[in-house]
Amino acid sequence: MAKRLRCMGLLARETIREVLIHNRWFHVCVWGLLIFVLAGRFLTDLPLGSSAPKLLYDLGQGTIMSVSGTVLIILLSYHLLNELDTGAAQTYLVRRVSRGDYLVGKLLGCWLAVVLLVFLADGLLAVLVAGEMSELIESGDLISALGITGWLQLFLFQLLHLLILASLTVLLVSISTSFLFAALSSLLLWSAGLLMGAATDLSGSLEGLGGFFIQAARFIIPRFEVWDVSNSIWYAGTLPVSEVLRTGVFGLLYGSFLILLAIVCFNRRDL
Amino acid sequence: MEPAIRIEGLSKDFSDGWGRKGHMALEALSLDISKGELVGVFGGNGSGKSTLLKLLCGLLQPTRGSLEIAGNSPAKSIREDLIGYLPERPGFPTYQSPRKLLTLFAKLSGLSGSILDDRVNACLNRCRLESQADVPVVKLSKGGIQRLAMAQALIHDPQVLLLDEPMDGLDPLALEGVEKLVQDLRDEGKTVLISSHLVRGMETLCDRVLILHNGRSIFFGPPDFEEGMESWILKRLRDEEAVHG
Repeated sequence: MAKRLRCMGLLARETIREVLIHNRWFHVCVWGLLIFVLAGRFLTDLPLGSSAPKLLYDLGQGTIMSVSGTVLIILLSYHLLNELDTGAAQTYLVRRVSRGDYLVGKLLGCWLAVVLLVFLADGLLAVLVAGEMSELIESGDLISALGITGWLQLFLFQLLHLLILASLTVLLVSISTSFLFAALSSLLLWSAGLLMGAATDLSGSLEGLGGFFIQAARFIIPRFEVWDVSNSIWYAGTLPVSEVLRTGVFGLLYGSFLILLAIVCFNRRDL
Repeated sequence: MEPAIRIEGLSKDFSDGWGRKGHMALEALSLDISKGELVGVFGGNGSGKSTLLKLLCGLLQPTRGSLEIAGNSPAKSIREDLIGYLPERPGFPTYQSPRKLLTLFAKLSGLSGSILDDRVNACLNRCRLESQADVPVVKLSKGGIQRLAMAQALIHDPQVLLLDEPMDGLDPLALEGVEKLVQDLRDEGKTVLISSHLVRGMETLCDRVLILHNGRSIFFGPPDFEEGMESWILKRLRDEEAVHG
């Protein structure tokens, strides 16, 4: 087990190094995201009153999750399929690295690189929102500000969200040889998973096949909306520990299940 | 004595997974290769040379038949560091240097400490990469990349070497270097399976040759041909082409 963990760690470290130091596209995404988050600050110059921090927060969170999720899907599917195509993966797999170790190592590497991106963007957003809130608290228009525990909980749920998205992408890569197929189908399932709550509400008013398909999709497509807790955290300040634990364990189990499925598919694949 | 490689009734059919008939890349191949033997695998494009080597190192799953390396399955042989594989199209991260890549491969093979440094330096030296050890892969020539591919196959000192087209695209001087290296490996008692388009010079190197045509073995034995191996292979391949298409 220690040997396997060492292999996964080495592959993850190499992948992070490659993404953070040598991947120019990723650098552009990092700067682009930070500029987008920063640009939200200019919206608050509009006469929005006490809703300015919420607007800044919503806009920032939406941008961070949509950009980081898309970057993760593209990064992971391109990285894995490119290595399989160029033969780099094969040079790893003809030594003590099992196919499962390889997939998990690469997944962790790409995921951690994107986690760093989210950490930077969240940090910047937290500073901007805190600045906006402190002005309103001083003027008496707002009673309390979002605390550090709230931001940490939000970050934790974002990590889980991205981990499940990474697992889903790896599963689709394991059954595909096409970057476009893997990336587009991951994006499609992710978007569907984010909209599942609204679709479920709609299915209540739909009869026949439409309603049946939406109900069936609920059980197949990962419900990413579960890990979007930005609204709950904004209004409640922090989430109860029991809820964090329950959702966290569920997320980890769900992610592990997807990774195991990906390993089973990848083990049967000719390389 | 137990053979280093035992193959029995090995077939590989690249079907499309939807039940439609695929391409039969290898058909009912059976052979034993002794420890320390150097076997050349020859044949035209699509004859099954690379498929055979990929099956031996577990990158492909056989459709039928069995294969063993020192009595183990390919998966177990890899776990026990018995196999070194040089792929037909070696791919490496272009920003890394040969030294860093070999260090990574050595770590992935379980080496550490001074043994790791010694092995990396020995492989760089053996594959004539010392002067380019710290140059990024992107700046290496085709011959340099091929030598790096050879070095990564040797880094964990495997007993069986599977070399897929190690001489492909090399200039005469580099070619001579690879031939010398392969000869040295045989002299050290390694079992070597080498696939190549190039036939010239191989009859003196190989103990036995396997000639494949459309996935079938048409000859397996010592290269003692009166008219020379290249002419003999060409004649046999033309005959096969005329009979089977």
